[in-house]
Amino acid sequence: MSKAFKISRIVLTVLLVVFIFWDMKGEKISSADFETVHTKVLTAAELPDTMQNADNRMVKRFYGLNANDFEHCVLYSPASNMDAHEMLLIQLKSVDQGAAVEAAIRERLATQKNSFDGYGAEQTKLLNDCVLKVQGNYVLFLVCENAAKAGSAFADAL
Amino acid sequence: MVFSSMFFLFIYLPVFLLLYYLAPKVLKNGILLFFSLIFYAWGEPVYVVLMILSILINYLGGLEIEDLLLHKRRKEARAICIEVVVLNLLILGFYKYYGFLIDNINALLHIHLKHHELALPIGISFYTFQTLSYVLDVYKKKVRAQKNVISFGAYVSMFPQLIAGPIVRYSDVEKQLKERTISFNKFGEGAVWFIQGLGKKVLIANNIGKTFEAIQMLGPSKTSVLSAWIGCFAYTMQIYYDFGGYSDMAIGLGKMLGFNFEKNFNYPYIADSVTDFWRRWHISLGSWFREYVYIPLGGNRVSVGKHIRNLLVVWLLTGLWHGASWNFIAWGVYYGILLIFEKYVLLKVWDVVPGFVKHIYTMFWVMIGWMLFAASSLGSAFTYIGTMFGAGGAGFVDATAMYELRSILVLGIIAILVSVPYCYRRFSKLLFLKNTDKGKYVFISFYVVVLILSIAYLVNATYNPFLYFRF
Amino acid sequence: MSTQDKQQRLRFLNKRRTWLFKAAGLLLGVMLVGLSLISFIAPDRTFSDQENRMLAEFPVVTMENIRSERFMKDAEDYVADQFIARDAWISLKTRADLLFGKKEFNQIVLAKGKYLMELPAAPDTANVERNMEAVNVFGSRHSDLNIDMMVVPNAVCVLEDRLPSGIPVRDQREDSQWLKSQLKSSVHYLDMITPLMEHKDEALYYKTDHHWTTKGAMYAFLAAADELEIKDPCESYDVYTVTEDFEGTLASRAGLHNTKDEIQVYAPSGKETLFYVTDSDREEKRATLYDKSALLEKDKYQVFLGGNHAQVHIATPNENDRVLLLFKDSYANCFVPFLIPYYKEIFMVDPRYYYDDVEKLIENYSVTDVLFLYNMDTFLSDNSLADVLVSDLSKES
Repeated sequence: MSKAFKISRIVLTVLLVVFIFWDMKGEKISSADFETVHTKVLTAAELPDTMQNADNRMVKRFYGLNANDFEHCVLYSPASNMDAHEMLLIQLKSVDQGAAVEAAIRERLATQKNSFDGYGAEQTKLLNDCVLKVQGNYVLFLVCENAAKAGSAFADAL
Repeated sequence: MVFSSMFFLFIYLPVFLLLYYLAPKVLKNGILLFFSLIFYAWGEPVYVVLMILSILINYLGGLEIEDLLLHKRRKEARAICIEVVVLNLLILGFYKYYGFLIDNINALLHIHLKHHELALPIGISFYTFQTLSYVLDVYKKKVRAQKNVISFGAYVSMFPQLIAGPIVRYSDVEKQLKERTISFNKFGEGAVWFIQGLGKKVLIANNIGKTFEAIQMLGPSKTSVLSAWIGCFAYTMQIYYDFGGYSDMAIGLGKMLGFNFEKNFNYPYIADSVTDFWRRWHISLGSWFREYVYIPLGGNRVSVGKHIRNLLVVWLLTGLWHGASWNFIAWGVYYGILLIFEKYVLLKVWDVVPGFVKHIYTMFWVMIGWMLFAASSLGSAFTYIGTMFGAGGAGFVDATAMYELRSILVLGIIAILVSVPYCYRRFSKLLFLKNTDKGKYVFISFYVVVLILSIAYLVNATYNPFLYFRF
Repeated sequence: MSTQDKQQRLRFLNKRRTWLFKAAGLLLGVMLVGLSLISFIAPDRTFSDQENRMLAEFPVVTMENIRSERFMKDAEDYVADQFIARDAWISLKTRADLLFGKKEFNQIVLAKGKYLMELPAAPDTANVERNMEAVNVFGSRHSDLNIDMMVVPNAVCVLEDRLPSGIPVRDQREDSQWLKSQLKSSVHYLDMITPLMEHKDEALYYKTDHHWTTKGAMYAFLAAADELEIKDPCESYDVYTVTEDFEGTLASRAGLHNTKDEIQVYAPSGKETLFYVTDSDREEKRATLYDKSALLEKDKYQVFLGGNHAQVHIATPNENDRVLLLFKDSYANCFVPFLIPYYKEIFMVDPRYYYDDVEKLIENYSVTDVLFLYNMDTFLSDNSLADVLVSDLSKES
């Protein structure tokens, strides 16, 4: 009887320690290929056709970020300024960049929400429902109707 | 999930209650456990694993200790008990205090140890204290070990008291886990508690708290003495109605499930001394510390020196329990000192003092204490308390203070009225008016109004704070 | 009391108590089950007119969303948004708030005369200083141009008499002084507070919207004309009321729908200037600054210019050589009509949306005058102006 207790106690303690270590580990670095992640997210997002692949100047304009600081960076912006759709996908060079990138995106999100506040109800909803995920060495910012679905696809792709 | 949310009220609770009431008796604890795990996972999808591990560790620990005790192997039982207690404290200590410890070591030794920011699993302070009470009571032979892991799991995780107490000791519910009354009458009794708790939280606490926030945002240079005290008053009311309201809802939900929990608050703001206050505030925490720390240390049956030590230890731990931050520790020690003072000096002469002086004295210390509690740091606590005594830059009374006073007037008066038993007793007379039914209809319509208004406020709320939540 | 009386009394009390429990149980049970069933059966709404926003849809269920707690938040939003009679519940709450003496709703004050006023937020000092630095650099690069800056105070400043007494609110006079102190001499700072306060008992701001009225814009124009080097500003206008049914953004945000506003359009009496307008969102030229279709929508203030565009170009047959470059926010939309008789061309640039090169614009179109026209609250939280003015300004964050 006491043997069973002893074994189960050891097992549980081990599980506990494992859980705590797993919890402490933080975001793991994904070995996923950028293009694969890129395609999977795009497919799930189903962005409107009017959106274009923007250049690095726009990345600087929108977020104040230098696209060259990262391993890969792609931005989709709408043709019209009255449209809130947006997609930014970044593969970081180092996990430490995550915090600064997230802060920059949050500022952009706040500015956008401010711009559309009061008269762009649909755009405001899209912005409020946006996906902003920083997972290890990947960052996704997505404002579109299918954001929640695409956010899941993003997490699964990593 | 919180009780004061649309999803809980209109999806979770009706679905759960329907299944719970329809299920045969043997399945009720299982359903309670299952839904409680969902309730917890809703707020902590990852840390529900931690709670399950805690349940298993304590369940097996209880069984083993009892088994050993039965075989007269006391020393081994003691060892297991210590081991399980240490494991519990390790889990709690690690998740709650690890970051705080590292920060202080860094500050003391001027080094820069990095630590990973760990989230604090909701309710860990509550459920850990419950499991600790169980293990210790099994060892002390106060209760029998729970053989059914489902019933034990239901005890630890049951959603009415999981997130914010009251801290239910196993000995209080041991029998009720097996046998309890579930009836429409009991459901209704629970409904009365629940509705009044909901009103306290949603109508009073949430709204009066905004005044404190607004005054905090002024900054010391724009805070007059009156503003500071109005802000302090607002928080004093907010924390009582927030925590008290939630406890009422917990007790109400417990009754709906057939459980009787002890009440956690007993009109704390009519206390006539700080000692009395702590017999009325967060009663379940006070009695937990008394039973498992104070009395084992010797309580007051030791020398004066040791007695003072015991009090300070208990209050240091009380403060620490509330949060891993210096202002909480200061708050605990603050009360420790006041209680020692009262015990050895004040209470000996307290009888001759008129009642209203006693109340003013008590509320003075309680309100200042709350400013220690509410602050984000020890420094900002002292700054705020300073403005209460004129250290701010806006004089004694200014236009802002008058504005805030006017804003809080109606709600503040209601808050004060509801905080004293006199009003409820007078109001209850309506229910018990003989020779007429009108009284009881007026009485129930009050509950109708509270429920409807609470729903109206909840529908609108995106922001629904619960102050005791980070425990 | 005899024992029998006591027993009777006890039985009576228990009977009443039992009645209370049964009644409360019925109340709670019916409300919880009834309301949730009805909400479930009723079809989902997509848009709330009263709140002027889209309502939450049924949440997406994925493992990732559950793990990230996104699903939980969405589920809560969904239940609250699709609750039966949501609008009625919100009105009830607002009435209760007013009964409790509440005067502030979501950073909006209910002032005397049913005026709703937005409480200005604390400025982002770093951004403001950066913007002002950019303005100075821009000014020194274009010292040959006539550069003016008008930062219009908001209702909480000009109509401060109507505010509940003692309410803590930013002093925009101080803010104005602060801005002025940061400008170098090449840019002229125009004080708009004094001229507007002279007319503070008139309808200078909308009651339900954060914008100023056309009348307010007119007084500002007349006060600024001198500094803008407009010799004979027109002082008499024909006033046309284009709607009496305007409910602005503040009403929905505060949840108070107790009044409506009029929108007026001012045309200079007897002095008609022909012009055409193009903007970056609609290429085709049109001869009017007003977008009538906006009057059928909720945000009727967009009747002015059809809202905000990255760039608007107005060309007139006026024979002076004055070309105005106007950096603006939405306050300028009802101000610009007053400027038309006095310039050959006007370019309106909204830095929040403008991604082109402003230097090229100045060169290609021979801009002669530059005007910054913002309202104080928006200007103090702006973070777009600097990068548009001076594209190579260093960014310190």
